[in-house]
Amino acid sequence: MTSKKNYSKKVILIGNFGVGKTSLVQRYVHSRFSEQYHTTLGVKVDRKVVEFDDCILNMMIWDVAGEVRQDKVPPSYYLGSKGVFYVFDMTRPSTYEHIEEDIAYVKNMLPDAVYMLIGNKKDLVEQSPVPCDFMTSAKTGENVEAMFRSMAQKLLEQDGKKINI
Amino acid sequence: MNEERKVDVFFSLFEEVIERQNEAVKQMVFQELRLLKEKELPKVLEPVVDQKIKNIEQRLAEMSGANVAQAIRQQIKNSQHEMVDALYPIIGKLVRKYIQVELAKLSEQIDKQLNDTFSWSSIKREFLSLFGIKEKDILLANAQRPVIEEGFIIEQDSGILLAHYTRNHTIDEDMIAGMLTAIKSFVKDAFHKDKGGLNAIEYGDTTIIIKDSGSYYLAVVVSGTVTTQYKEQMLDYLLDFERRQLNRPKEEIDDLQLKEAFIEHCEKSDDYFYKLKNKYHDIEKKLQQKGHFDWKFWRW
Repeated sequence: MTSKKNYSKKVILIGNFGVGKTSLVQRYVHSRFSEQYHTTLGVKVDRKVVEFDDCILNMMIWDVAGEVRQDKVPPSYYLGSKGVFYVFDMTRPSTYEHIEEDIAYVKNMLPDAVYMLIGNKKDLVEQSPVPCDFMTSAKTGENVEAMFRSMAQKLLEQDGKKINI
Repeated sequence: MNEERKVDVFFSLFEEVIERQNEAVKQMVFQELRLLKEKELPKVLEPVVDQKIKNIEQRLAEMSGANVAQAIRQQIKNSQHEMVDALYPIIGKLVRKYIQVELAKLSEQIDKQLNDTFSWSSIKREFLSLFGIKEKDILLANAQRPVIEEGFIIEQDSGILLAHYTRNHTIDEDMIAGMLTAIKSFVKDAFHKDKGGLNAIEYGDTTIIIKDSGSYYLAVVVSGTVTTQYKEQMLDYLLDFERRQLNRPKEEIDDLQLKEAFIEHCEKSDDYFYKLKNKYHDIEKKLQQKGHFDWKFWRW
């Protein structure tokens, strides 16, 4: 039996206040640290091991506290991220009105990262008001696992690994 | 047909009259209640409230200060265990911190004395100063000696852990690495420091010593009494590792080899740091010899 190769990648969740970033992470991982770090440090780091047939990805998930605009987030929190989830609330237009500007701002710092748009609160609406990669519901758990797993797959593929899910 | 219509009209008129009467009665009742609330109720309640206030004042006057103090004392006496439970974490931490600070001072004093003592230029002074250090002080310093509990090599930007050493396997090293990086980043952003950064974090009797190394940084979690001298020695020790293992392009660094080398380096830290330990042992030996020495004879 051959041991699987391990990879570690940093992914970051960004988006306006109250869109459900923390709830998505809570749905996906079992947090060991207090949620209070959001109010004190503005970020909380969690980990999820995603296992594939031939490798393991150690995904370090940086859940950044919600800001009205992304340029309010300390720039160093973005550094080193290989994947970015931009989460918006499908029921609140103010959370997806500035997607393009926000993404452009982050892309300036992370040009090579994998980007995914996540429309959250699917339990409240039928269709996404703007195009997105995943429509999720942190409340019911719908598509939460899928969005993280898809990100993991893309991150490994970006490194030139063929992934069997 | 006409008769039926008349009956309907009569009943509808009758209903209207009843409804109006009801409304008039309702208005009257509300009016009465308003009057009662505004004028009559205070008249009835005021004397009762005044009497109650007088009673309370009288009872308070009867309770002298001594009685109150006695009551509190009694209460404390009755719930000693609860009081201890409540205060212990706070007082315990204060006492622990105080002892730690005092030991750090003591340790630094001993370090200084040892440095003086073992210099080649003052062998005679070494012998004499030997007796200026109390055996208890040396033992205390030994008991509180710093120990590396955890060691990390972390990528600067991403907070990804490259290598880890632990003595007790109790923490999630990846998450610690991430949060430590977040704290470092936060400090850097908050104070707009382009150069330098967070060098140490102290919490209770634990100190995290941080050494930046290009695109990586090394962090060691140390328990025990960490003196300024120890910090300097630790930074030298980490620098030594950095020179041997990290001073090369990222692509040339073999992850597995780095992990093994780091664990070995941390494990060997005892030997490196306790050159002093040998000095302590020398002193202890000499102190023991001193115990067998016939001082009366020596005086003569």
